[in-house]
Amino acid sequence: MSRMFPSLTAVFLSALLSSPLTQANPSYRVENVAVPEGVVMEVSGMDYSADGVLYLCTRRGDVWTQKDGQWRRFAQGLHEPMGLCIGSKGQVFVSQRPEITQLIDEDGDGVADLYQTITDGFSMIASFHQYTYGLVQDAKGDLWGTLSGTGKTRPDGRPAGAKAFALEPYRMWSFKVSPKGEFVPWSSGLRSANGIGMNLEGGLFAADNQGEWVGTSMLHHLEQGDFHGHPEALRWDDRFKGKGDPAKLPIEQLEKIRKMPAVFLPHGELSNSPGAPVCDTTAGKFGPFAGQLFIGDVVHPVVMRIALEKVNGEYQGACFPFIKGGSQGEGLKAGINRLVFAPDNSLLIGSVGEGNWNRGRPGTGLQRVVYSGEVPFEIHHIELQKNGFKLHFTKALDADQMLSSDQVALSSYHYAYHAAYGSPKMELKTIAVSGVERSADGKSVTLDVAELEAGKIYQFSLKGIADRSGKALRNASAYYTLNELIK
Amino acid sequence: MRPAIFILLFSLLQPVLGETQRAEQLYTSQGCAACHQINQPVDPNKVMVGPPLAAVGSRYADDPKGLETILTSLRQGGGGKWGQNEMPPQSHLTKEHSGQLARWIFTLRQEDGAGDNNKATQDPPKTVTHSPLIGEKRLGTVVQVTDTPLVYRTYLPGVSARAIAVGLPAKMGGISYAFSAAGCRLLYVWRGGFLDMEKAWTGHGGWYAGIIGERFYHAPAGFPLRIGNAFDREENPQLEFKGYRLVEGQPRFLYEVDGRPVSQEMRYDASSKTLTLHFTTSNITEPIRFLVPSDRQTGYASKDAERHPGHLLVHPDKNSRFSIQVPIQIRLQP
Repeated sequence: MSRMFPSLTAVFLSALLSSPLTQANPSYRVENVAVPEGVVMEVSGMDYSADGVLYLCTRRGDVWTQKDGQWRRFAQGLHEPMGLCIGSKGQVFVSQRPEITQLIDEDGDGVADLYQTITDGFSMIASFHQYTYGLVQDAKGDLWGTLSGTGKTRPDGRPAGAKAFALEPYRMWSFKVSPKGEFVPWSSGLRSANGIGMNLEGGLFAADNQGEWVGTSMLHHLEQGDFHGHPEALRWDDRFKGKGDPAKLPIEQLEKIRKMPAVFLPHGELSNSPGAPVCDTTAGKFGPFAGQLFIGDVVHPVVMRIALEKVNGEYQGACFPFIKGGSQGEGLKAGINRLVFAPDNSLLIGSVGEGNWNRGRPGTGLQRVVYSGEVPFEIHHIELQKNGFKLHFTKALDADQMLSSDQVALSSYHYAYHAAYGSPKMELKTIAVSGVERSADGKSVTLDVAELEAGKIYQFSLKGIADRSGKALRNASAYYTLNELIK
Repeated sequence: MRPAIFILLFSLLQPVLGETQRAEQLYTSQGCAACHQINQPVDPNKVMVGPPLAAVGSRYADDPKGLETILTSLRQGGGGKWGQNEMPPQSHLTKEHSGQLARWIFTLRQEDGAGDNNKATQDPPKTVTHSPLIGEKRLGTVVQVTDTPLVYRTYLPGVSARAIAVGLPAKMGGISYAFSAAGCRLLYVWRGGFLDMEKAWTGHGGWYAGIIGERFYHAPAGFPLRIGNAFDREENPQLEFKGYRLVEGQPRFLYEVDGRPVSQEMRYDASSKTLTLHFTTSNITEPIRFLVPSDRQTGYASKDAERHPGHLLVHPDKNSRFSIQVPIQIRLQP
């Protein structure tokens, strides 16, 4: 290819100019990352190769590479790719609307020559709302992604409604693609789970976006055969195939087969439109959250943090704000679609641009979050107890400080499971905390709660909690999804 | 104003409790939100799909026919009032719903600082000439071919969802064509430009790309190759798209016909106005036929195949590599 494109052998020399935006957070600083000038870089997928090259795809169909501040375009003309991952053998995989594709640079000039279809084993109509979200690879070499619901579309491509449908197989399903290219539908009922991530144990997670049947955005653990809640998808489930409109099944029947999300992400408070989760694989080099998940929001400039535990064999846990944007925030500039940990253990943030994707805010492109080494004072994770919760902190609490239940505002609620778009908080009530006890090492606090109920979100708001240097908690709110009580 | 419309408007103006909330629900449930914000400054540097509804309300606030205009736009579609996009008739709305929406929009006003500066959107978009690395020119969302071919996957009019647009530079014939990855075949050819990606790229995105120029050739229906003697003219063989390889920038399409790998390239010679399809296969000993539509038989030619009624039969020793010339008549504009 280089013979035809001598100019392509040149490279962008825009250095990786990073400028700190704020020092408000002594543990994490947000920096802008320079991107090629004049390029609309709505980031829709990112991964690093083993030799430290960033591969980045955009909604406009380009794939860029960057190393040592040098950008070049690796591929172009993809159909709104919404995921990219680098395989264990260095393969570049992208999920574009019509297919999963491997991009191969056959002549080694740094530009892909072969756009190889790995699978197109799912149906397509030309709908504006048919995304192929992805993409991660597991240890066995299988690729994983999700298919959004279809938006009803007029013959010329214009949207004809905001509802999501699954009239073609396998819309609203998660899927696996074997190394041989076999397409395997995996779990169903995802309205629009924008992206997919894997934790250290190999568990697969995707965050569905609020809408019909999705009361608030929610993080699902995807296991084979799971039904995550949107009944449209059941059209392609063997149990319901050919048995009429599954959206008309009684809700009680759907509730019985529905797997609850591992974590609800409260709408309007934490997340309106979550992107792809990414696991902290830095083993502590990004701070004290190794193994936890981070996830951005396409509408609001916010990065959330999720700490899971297993209760009765099922994942559930808490979500927390991590870094925020806005005028009072910590420097994030726009809605966030994709995250990836860089070889230098910083967290690279890919933002999408104009349009409904982030409600008209400017600011496509890249930022990154760099850990300073100063441990932040945060709730590290929440561990369910038989009679309450144990809050684990990243640092020991001030030993002289008296602790009282007044310092913990606890409430519970749930979101309605129904065909309507979204849900308010249902049965919101204040929950009494009858006892507060600090552990001997000062790093955890046990809260006694008289009545714990499964199927609820417990919202914590702490005040007046300080570490031994007198510093207050960086983020004092948390949301624990309680699906399973300890038996 | 005719009495019927007057009565309709009169009834629309009757206040109904909770109508604002109902209209806001319709705004979401009926798809308005896909293209319109409710209240947002009109940014002259940004392409918008449709105007913010508060800007519409503000514009017609003092217009005695304002409500009627909004209602007509909802019912019959609109265009030319706000930028270049047309709004299709919202024919899925019931009379009641379109009335509720129209009245609600008519009452909306833009917030401070969000003035009706829509005129600025009429300014020509800024030219963004990319680095020579890009190999294309993007004038706003209009993509132009420069000196290298372009291959864009996008939704195209008249093609399956799995569509591929190819644009060739002047030295390679200067045409553009649509290839269906689902049907593994050429669909049509156009000239005069490449694509406008506005509706595919901006706003929510994901609409069809616009074809710039004039379509002058449509390929006959159906996949043209048949392998073996037991062939069915009407029924396509089993086809599986495998991707494409860029050869000097032009795509060599890769697919399987009944499990046999086939590759296909297209070349256009502008001086002789000839489109040639080049096929390669491997290890096929059965006869290969290229089907020719009965009404267009005469123009097809190949030195690698023998002419028969309804098809060209590839010479057995040419099975692994053969070319077919396809007749293209360009109708010149009067």
